[in-house]
Amino acid sequence: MATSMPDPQQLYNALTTAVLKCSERCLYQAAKWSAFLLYSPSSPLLPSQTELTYLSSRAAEALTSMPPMPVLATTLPQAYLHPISTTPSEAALEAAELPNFLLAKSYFDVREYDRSSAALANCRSVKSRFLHLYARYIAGEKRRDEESEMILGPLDSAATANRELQGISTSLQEIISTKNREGEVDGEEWGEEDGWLLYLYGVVLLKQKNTEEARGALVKSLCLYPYNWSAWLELGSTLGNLSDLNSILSHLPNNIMTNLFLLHANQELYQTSESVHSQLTDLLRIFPTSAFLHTTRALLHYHARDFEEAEAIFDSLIKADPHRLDCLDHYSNILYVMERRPKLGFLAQLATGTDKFRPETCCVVGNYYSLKSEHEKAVMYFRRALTLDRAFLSAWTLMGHEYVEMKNTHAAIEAYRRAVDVNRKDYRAWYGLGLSYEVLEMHYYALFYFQRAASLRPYDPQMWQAMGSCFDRMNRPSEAIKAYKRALISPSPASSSSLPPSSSSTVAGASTSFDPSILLQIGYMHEKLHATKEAARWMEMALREEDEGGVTQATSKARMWLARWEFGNRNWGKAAEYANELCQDGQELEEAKALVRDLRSRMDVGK
Amino acid sequence: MSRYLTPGKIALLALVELYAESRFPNQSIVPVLSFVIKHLVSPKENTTFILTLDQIKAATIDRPSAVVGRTIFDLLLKKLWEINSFDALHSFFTEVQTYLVDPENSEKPPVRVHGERSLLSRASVLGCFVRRAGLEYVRLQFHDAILLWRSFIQYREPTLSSWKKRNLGAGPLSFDMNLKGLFLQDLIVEQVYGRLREKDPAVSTDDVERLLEFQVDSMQRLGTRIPDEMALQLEQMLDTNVTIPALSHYVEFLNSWRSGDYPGSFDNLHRYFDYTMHNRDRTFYQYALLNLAILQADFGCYRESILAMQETINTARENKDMACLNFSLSWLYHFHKAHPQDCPDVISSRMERESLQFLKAKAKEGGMHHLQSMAHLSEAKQILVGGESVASAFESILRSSHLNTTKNIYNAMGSQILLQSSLWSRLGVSYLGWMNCELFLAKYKHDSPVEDVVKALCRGAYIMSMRGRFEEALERLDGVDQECLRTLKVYQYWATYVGLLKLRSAIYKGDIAAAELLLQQLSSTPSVEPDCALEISICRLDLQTRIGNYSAALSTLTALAETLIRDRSDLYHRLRLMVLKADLLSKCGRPLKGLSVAVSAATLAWRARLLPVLFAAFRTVAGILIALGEFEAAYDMLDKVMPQVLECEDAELNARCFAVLAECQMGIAGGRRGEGRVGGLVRALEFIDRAFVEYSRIQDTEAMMTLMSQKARIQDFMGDKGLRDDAVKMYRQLQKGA
Repeated sequence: MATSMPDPQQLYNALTTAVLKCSERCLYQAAKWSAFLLYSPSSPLLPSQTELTYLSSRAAEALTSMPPMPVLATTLPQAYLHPISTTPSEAALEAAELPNFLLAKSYFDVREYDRSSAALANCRSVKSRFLHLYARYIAGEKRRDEESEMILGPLDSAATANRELQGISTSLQEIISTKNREGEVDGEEWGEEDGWLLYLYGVVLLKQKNTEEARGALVKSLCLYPYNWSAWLELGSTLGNLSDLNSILSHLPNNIMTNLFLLHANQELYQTSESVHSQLTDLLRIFPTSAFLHTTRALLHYHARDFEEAEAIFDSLIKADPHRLDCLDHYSNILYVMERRPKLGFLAQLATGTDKFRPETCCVVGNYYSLKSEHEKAVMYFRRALTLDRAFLSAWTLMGHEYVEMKNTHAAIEAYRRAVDVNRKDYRAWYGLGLSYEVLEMHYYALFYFQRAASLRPYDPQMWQAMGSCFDRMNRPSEAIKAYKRALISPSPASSSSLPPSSSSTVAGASTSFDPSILLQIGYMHEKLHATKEAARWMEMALREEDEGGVTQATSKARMWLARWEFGNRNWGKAAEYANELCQDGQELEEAKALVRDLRSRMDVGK
Repeated sequence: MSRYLTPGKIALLALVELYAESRFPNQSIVPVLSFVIKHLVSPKENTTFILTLDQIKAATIDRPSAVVGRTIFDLLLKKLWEINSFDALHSFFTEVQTYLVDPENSEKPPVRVHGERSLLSRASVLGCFVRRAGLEYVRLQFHDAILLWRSFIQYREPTLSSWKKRNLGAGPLSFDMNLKGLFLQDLIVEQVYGRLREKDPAVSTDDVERLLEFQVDSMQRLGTRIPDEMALQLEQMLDTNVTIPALSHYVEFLNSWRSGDYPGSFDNLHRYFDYTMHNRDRTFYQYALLNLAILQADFGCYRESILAMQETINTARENKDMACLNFSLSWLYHFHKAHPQDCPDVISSRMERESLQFLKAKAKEGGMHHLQSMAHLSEAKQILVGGESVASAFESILRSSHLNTTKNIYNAMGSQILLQSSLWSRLGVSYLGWMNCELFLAKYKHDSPVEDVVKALCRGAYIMSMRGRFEEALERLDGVDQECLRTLKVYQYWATYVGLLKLRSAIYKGDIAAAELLLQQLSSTPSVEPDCALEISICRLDLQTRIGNYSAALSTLTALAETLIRDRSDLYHRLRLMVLKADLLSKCGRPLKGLSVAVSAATLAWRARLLPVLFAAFRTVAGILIALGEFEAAYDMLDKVMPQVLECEDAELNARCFAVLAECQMGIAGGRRGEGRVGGLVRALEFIDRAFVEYSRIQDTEAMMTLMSQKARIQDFMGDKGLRDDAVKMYRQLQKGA
């Protein structure tokens, strides 16, 4: 995990080549990511002019077999325009198949995937084979999208499959097994090029839900060529929890990319510890202006409920590059929780100005409408986001939230379910599922989802609290007490909610204090267990929280309980004290007054 | 762009909100609210298509508000500038709905109390406006709402300086509070508001539709085309990114129709109805057919037109569209009257029988006053054409006039007055006829179809030319509003009249070459109105007679008379031809043959009170009598009617009558001796002079020369050498001039 600071020169070369290689293989997103990482105005990576010429001359030396391009060779070596394989046999093959490859690539660029794939049918170089199969895969994906029905329509199911997968995986297996056999015979090592094939193999396996093997293939691919960000992303999506990450950690290559990946994976797994932050700071030293890293930091703050900080980072990001739409949906979530209506409106305006048919934009607009309580419109925009990209996670979750607001629980459940199917790490969707089932009074079922959510966010009191109330409903007070206690010990203060729609449900409190409502609940649970003394102890604890957070509904309830308890124990004086305090606070007034009257009469009798 | 909402409407909403907040003192309520309502409910007024902030400013800046020291405009500015982000705009639209009375709990009677928020009732004009605005806003997609917001910023921008006066903090970026701390050149500002400076007019589809409706309305009502300037503006408006209603194709259609672009108008008509054939659950097939039929007829394809109209009537019957049906029937009736030879027999026979009665009854039943008025006029016309009772014709005209005045039917006024004018002319009171035309031009010009205006103008000019004032008449015709002539039909009508007047004058002057050229040009014009065609034919006759080509003249005359009789056309015209025939016969030296024709023409003319023809017939008869030697009788007959002849103010008729009278006197003088003869000759000289004056009005050189030679001979006989030489000199001069 701890890699030394890489040589900037090498890194620069590696990243440049990575961009070219990725875009050559039509992995556009990966190319974009690498290029973005590479590009930073004040980056120490940028080589000086002399270095550039040095580079070019060195590259020219390496490429003596190729006829040098007369003009460009002085500024950019041929390798930068068309990076060829390092193995001589492969390079020869590639050179021979260059026309086919270029034809296929141009077909791919104009989205004629089948044609592109067909153009490379008989080619033998690894690069051509990769593009051949990849184009087939993309064609299959396209067809699958075309076949799928309207979002959440009657016939819409997530099951529409990519029909090409089987064929691709068979060919890939063939290639890999031949390679293995050859490796045994010739002792020939796997080359860098094979990394791409393995990446594709991993993707296909992942689509076929063969997570374990996919992970293996991807790790192997990354060991062969670590600068393929798409492969890292796929690898990230195979990780369900922290232990998964730890299990593959030792197999990963020792490279700067691994660090970047780990950072990304930790962010995805909601790890907001100090070590992650320091890792991020280290990386920022290499890529000081990388928007990816800054976004990651903002997301880390967001996961840690530090909205102010996250907002500030996103603000500066937008200012620096107003055309960038990536992750703006998260920013809109942040603004939503902070209820910054004008700012969210402005963000929506900005995003719409850039591209109104991007899922991120639709999510921002949907969030805006949701904040303005126009839930139908919000759903419309989330739907649009999903039409644009069915795998767009936040839209599914947010749509679920909207359906909950619209009291359409069944639709909400379906939307959440889809979210979970897309990404099993989205605790909000799990939590939402739990809440929806709770609304439907299916507590046992809800419990399962709360448990999933809690396993993803073990330190979020809200999950545990929800679980506690679930146990309570199911008449399992002892388990409920455990859950509630767990909610109490969470390190993060229960100052704000984790879910936007229920943000008003929790109570403000100081960082060291406990949430009185949880204490109250624990008290009730003990009462259910007939341990009234214990219950009274918890109630008193809740009352003590008044010093910090003032009188609240929960503390008043606790006081009322105590008053009744004392009343039951015939401690008239104490009961009267509590009741009078209640009357002063103005909460539970009617009941308290009745109690006071009752007490007076009894105390009069007692006298 | 939005369908309905524009920044102007937001400003109006803000005014309504201020009103509902009771920020208007009593004296300001009525003027400001009437300003608002004028822009909401009377879209006909053409100044209100785009409401600018300046207009609002002008209406509100002098009005004090309930806040001391502030005008209503100040409050409005505050309201508008408080909308300082897209979100604020959104909230503005949500909040304005709270000014409506809640139907659930409206126990509080809406009485205005000062300083308190008073609610608008949901069905009031303002309430409807607020509700519609709210609804339209909800309908907007996000990016459309953004567009509205951007155009609102643009709209409000000019008031920044006045807003700054009250708010020192305001700057060039204060239009959006999200931009606080940023600068104009920041990337993000550029990205969000970068293209603001591009000026696009803030119009909504609703505005454009109103504008188009106005255009269609005025084009249909007045029969004009769009003025070039306006067409340019319209083009600019349609150039914005609003959804353009299909109505624009209809405007195009009308425009190309009026400009005489036959294929273009068909294309546009079909395009329009392709888009609107099924609109609001109604089929508009019959209207498409109706338009098609009228269009065909206008371009002279009468057969096609009749077929289309029949189809229209059938479809209208099927769909029980009474308005369309009645209109079509009325149109068909008129068409039948105008082009009887093109109507199939079935229709002709149907049209003959009481179709007018049917139309009148139907129009009355359906409350279609315009149609009813037109039916009355048609009735009057029918009576006149048939040469029936003048009194009943007047009665019908009166009925129509009554309808026009009581029901405010402006555009039927033209037809009514024109008919009245021609009626007076037929009665031989041409001054009244001219007066009517002038009256119409002076009073009803602006609300009447261009066609009527030009017709009145031409009629007036024609009457003038009859008095011999050709120059003046042509001048008047030239003074026509050029805008009117942009419609092809109208232009053709006008041009025909100009040509006709020039032709007449050329014929009188004996300028044969010019006359022939003009005649050729006039008769080559493809589609002229029937009455013009007749005038042209009569001119041709006249020309042929003057050249001396009597046989050709006779054959022209016969052919003309035959068509007139076949078409059962106006008695007046038929009688004119009869008189011409009699004239021609007497010129050919067969006066006796002409006598019976002339006499029967006179009888018929008397019965129908067509006095100008009657007098012309009298003159012809008198001429024939002279030829028969019955001078006394001829003189008696003509002398008695002379006052009335003069009333006709027809210079040619007058001149001829005087010439005939002179001949009578000469004939009488020839039969006497001594004093009687001299007295007769003196009277003859008197008549010759008067005839000469009349002829010189119309510059009829040939006739003038004849008169001069007569005069010279009489003077010679009387022995007055000086006067004789004068006459001879005059003759020579005329000869030289010719």
